[in-house]
Amino acid sequence: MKRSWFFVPVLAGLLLGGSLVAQNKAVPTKIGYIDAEKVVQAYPTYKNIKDIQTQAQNELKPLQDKLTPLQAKIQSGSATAKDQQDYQVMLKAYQEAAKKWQDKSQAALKPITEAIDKVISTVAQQQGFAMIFDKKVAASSGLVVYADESLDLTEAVIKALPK
Amino acid sequence: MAQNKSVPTEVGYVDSDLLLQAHPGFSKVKEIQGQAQAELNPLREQLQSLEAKSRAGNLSAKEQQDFQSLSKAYQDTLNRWQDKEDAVLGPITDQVNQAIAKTAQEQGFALVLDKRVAGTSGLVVYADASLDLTDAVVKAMPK
Repeated sequence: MKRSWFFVPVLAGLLLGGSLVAQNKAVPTKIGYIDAEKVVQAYPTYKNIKDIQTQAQNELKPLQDKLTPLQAKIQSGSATAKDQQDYQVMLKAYQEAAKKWQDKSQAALKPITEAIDKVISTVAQQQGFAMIFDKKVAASSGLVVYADESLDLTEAVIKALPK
Repeated sequence: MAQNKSVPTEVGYVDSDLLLQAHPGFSKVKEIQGQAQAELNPLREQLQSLEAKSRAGNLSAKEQQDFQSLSKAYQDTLNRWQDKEDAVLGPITDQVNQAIAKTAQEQGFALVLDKRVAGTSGLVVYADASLDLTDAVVKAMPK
């Protein structure tokens, strides 16, 4: 009978230990990564961004085609005063057009990236990930030298995107 | 649960510079670097003295020409040695990366960071020394 007392603390210890383990499980510790570019391109309204980019190219290309020969002329020192003036006017037009399209593209991209960020956090929480890296930044910065493929959440995030 | 257990979760780090230097082929890289310096140093010294003269505004027409051709020679030499170094360093880097992947998989690490990038970028402000895989990777490298 006396012996049974020894079992009580052991049992309590086990129960306590068990509850601590259960608590630990709730804190996510996994680190995953995604190919953010791929996710953005998989977004249903991404074609709007591509349309904007195409329109921008269509408007900017002719301006660039006029600028390039003038620039060459100026560099070689054979530009007339009129050439110089044309160059300045055209450069201003080019920069303004480029800025206009950049703003448009950014405005269209913003709701997409915001929606994607939400999907990423949902997927991360569901699958118990504590932190998600951008694959490209992680690799090109030289920070991540090895990553297990099981941590790639790109496909899971793409599946969870709005249709 | 059982499935989760097989998914690695630990994050480790390695000193990539040290790993490269520990590779048996790295002595060849150092040799190339030494040869490159030996060829580049005299060119650089000539360039520097001409550059100083040029800044003071007293370069003769001939010296200006020398400066141009010397700059080009320096750049060409530099590129040539750089290409040589890259050719030797490429396979070494591949093998080091393979050793990192092998060690990480064996020891259940999910992610391995470069210690220098993690530190100098200011991203990682604390890392337990037990996560340092450098020595284990050195052991896994080709002899």
